[in-house]
Amino acid sequence: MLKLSKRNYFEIATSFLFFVLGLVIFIRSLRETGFILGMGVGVAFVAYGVFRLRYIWRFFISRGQKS
Amino acid sequence: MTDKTEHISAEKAQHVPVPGAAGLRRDVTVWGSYMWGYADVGADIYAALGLVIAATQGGAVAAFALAGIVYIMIGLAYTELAAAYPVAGGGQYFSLRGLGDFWGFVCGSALLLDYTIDIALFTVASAGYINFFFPVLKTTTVDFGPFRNVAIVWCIEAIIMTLILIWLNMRGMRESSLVNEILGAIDIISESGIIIFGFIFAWQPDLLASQWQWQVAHWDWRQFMYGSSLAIISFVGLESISQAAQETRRPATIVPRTSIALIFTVFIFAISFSTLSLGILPWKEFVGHEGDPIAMLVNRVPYIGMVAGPFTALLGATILFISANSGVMSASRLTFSMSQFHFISPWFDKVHPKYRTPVRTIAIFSSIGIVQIALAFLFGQDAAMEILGNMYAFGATLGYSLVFVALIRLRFRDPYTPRPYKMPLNLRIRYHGREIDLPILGFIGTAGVLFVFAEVVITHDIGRIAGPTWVILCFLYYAWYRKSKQLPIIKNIKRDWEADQKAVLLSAEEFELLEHYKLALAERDRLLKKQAGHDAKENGRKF
Repeated sequence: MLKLSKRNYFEIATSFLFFVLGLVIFIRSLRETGFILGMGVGVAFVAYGVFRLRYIWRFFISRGQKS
Repeated sequence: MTDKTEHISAEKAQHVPVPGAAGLRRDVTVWGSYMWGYADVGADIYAALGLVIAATQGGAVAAFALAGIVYIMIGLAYTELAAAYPVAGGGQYFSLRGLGDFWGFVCGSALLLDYTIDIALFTVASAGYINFFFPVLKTTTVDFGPFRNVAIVWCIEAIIMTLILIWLNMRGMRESSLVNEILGAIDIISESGIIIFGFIFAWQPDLLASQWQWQVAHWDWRQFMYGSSLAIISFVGLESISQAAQETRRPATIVPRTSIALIFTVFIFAISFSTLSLGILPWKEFVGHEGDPIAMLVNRVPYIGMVAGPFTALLGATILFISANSGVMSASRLTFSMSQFHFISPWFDKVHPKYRTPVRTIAIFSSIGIVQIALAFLFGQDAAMEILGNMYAFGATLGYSLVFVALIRLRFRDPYTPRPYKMPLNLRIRYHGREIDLPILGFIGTAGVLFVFAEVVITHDIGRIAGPTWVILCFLYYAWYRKSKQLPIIKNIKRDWEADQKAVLLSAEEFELLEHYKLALAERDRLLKKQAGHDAKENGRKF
């Protein structure tokens, strides 16, 4: 069983928040204005959230394999 | 390209040590390496946001996006080079390895210009955030002869802060990794909080869209080019990646992980703040707030604004002050590295007998920063930061252009050094009997950064004069120094790079890479021997 530090929890929480925030920005931009730059920022946030979550996931996997 | 190495006397051709390889302990952790970079690059948005919005108006998001894409490619290039050559010289060292002494010197002088501007710009910006609490200090102006609206108090504040930095650095204050980590973490938490609250409670997509549409209707290419080239200053500080690499144990493993995370964090924050700003306030509100744009923005966010505005101003002032301090320290590191490679006199490295600090470098380059502050404020209350940003963009884009060219050339010239990280998008080709990965993204990045460099030259009235003047003055000194030491001015001094690389990998505890490097060199020698034997046989047959 992997033990998570406070920093790990913080990283997971912020990554997840960025993902959700990206969705909110994308949907609001699409519904209210259809403005492509706003939607682009939403997609960037989603991609960033996914990138961070994937990074954390891979880090845990490699740590799990070592232990 | 031919290698213009000059074979000089044995005394002058002595082995040149890698700067700092022996002096700096490698004890920076993964988190420390990430935060070191963040404390340097993450502060830039506090200074750049107001300048870029004032210049590009409703098109600020596009300006940040354009500069950000170029920055990502520069960041990836630095990651590859810093992981392969983990020494503190940064761009100057990479250019020297890839392009030789002259271009290494040019890159070093451009980066040195940036460090002096770094001291000036960030102390001015830090004082700007302090003035968030005392707006009267910012608006107190006087007239000096032909110069109108000189913000004398703001100017004096910035000069006093620089003098404090000089004093602290001469006394031997070192930038603690722990301080960086704590402040960087507070900054990331605060910025994340501002972005989340701002987007949820205050952001209006229709305001952002209407400002963009207005901008498109009043599009001015020159103004956009000016703004997007200024936006590059929100990403300057990538040199910290190589500086951290010098002090990181096992940099080949750690540097790619931390620097890629850092690059994307800074990019997403820059894009977020510009999108948030234009979705909360009309761009005109930022004009006149170049000194404290983020505090002004946060102050308008519902629920948290009353507390978060002043808190952000305090945080901005602190983090910008630390960033200015890193300019003082980086100038010392760079001049030390440049003197080790005989670009400048070792006179600059003279250390104080009591405090053991490079007092001459600290005094000279920080004083240049003070002169820049004074000159920038002469052009009026709102122009000071813009003028400093002008010159900052020139030094950064010139230095980064050379780093890209060096990256491409090193793929051909030094394919033996193991590269734990390579920029993506490579085309495998055969070159002189050896397989080489041609960096396609490196070529795209070179074109991108040259484009921004061209934008700077075309649109920055002060940068295009002051920047080249600085480089020419530095070159005149370099030529005089090299001539006085009977060293070649344009040609290269002979150096044993292979021994240096082995020493660097050994000190970094990268034993596996060291083995790979030795094997690659042995294979090269075997092939050369075989080729020489073959040639001798051919000559024997002819005669």
